[in-house]
Amino acid sequence: MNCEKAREILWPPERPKPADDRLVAARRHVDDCAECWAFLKGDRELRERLGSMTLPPAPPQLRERIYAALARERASSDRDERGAEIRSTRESRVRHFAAAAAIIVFLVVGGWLAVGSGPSSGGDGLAPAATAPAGGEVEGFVQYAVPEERLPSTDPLLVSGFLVRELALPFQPREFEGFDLQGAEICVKDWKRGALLLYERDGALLFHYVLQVEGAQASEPTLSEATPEEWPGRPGPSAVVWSSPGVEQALVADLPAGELLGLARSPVRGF
Amino acid sequence: MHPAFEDVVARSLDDLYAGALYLCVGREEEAEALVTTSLVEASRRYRAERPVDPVFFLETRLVRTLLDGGTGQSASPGADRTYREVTAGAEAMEVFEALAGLTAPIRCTVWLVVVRRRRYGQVAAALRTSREQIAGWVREGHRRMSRSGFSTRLRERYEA
Repeated sequence: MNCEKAREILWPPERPKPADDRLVAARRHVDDCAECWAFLKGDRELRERLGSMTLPPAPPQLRERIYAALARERASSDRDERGAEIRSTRESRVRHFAAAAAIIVFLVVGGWLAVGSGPSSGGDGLAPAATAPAGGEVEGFVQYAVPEERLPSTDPLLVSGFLVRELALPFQPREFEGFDLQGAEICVKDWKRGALLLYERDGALLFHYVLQVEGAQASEPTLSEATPEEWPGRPGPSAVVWSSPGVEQALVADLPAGELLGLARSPVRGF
Repeated sequence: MHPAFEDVVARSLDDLYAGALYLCVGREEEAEALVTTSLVEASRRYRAERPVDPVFFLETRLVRTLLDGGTGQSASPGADRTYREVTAGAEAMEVFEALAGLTAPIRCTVWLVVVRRRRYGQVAAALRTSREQIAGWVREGHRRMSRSGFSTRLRERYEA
């Protein structure tokens, strides 16, 4: 065995390795090779010295600057993606319009007139039927996330800044009719951080969970079984989950399911 | 599930900042600029590349930013002296002075191999060179640091 092979097998020397024939041969080589022995000794000395040097953690101001820079970067890339999406939608509409026009011309020329032959398309004024499943990640997050940081504030601007700083998430707290914003909390589950926005109305609490999920597609609000694990009187309150592009959301409150669904479906308004 | 970029940054930032201090030989302002520049650049690539080892991906961006001439290429340690006097003390300054005697690629190699314990193949990919070159830089790093006063005192401590 040569020096290079022996060092590769033994690297990094402080980590345990399966005691197979290769390892035994590499150790035997080092025992007989003054150069390899000196190399490993030098490495150990350097590692212990450099590794034991106490370096300070990243300063809080640096963290803030980095998160602000990342938030700007994300917002800019989201704008680009949204722009591309809008362009794609416009092109798609043009194609659909052309196709529809072609069909109408075909029907008129062929003498076809279909009058009231199909079923009514509904039209109850609500959003489309809430059957598309929202992503499941926010449900697990609602149930098992643990609090990490908190900002008690009724100021939507402060809360919005808090979300940018902590999560690099450009997100305006939403207004829910009759409820007052009380603050925001950063929660964590499996190393994933998300936000919980707290609202209150006459002592009743409303929780709005927001979780960035890469690739999340827009979906309509649906009722869910998700309930915070420590919620008193489980099986607990109503929960509604839905998604906007890249963000899964949930509303949880001790309210009738219909009312909560109505809140989630209400037009999105910032403060 | 692939971790969110911000979560990887949150977990790794202290190690990256320490790495930037090694690479910038104790100059705090340059270290901060190096970390910030490299992370913004990394965030642009992260979603597309979906790296298997996100921490190593950030380490790679850090050394690439240094080597591509973005930030942190000065030659002398801790010119502003803030770090030396307030935070690190004379002992750390000895390390930075020894690191300042190395070229930037060798400093990067020493940080990735000796401190982060990355394998030669990984480091070669990060620095866009061959394993043989990395082996050579590791030897050179050992040799030059063993000549410095830092290593002499280190040996004395070991022998004591």
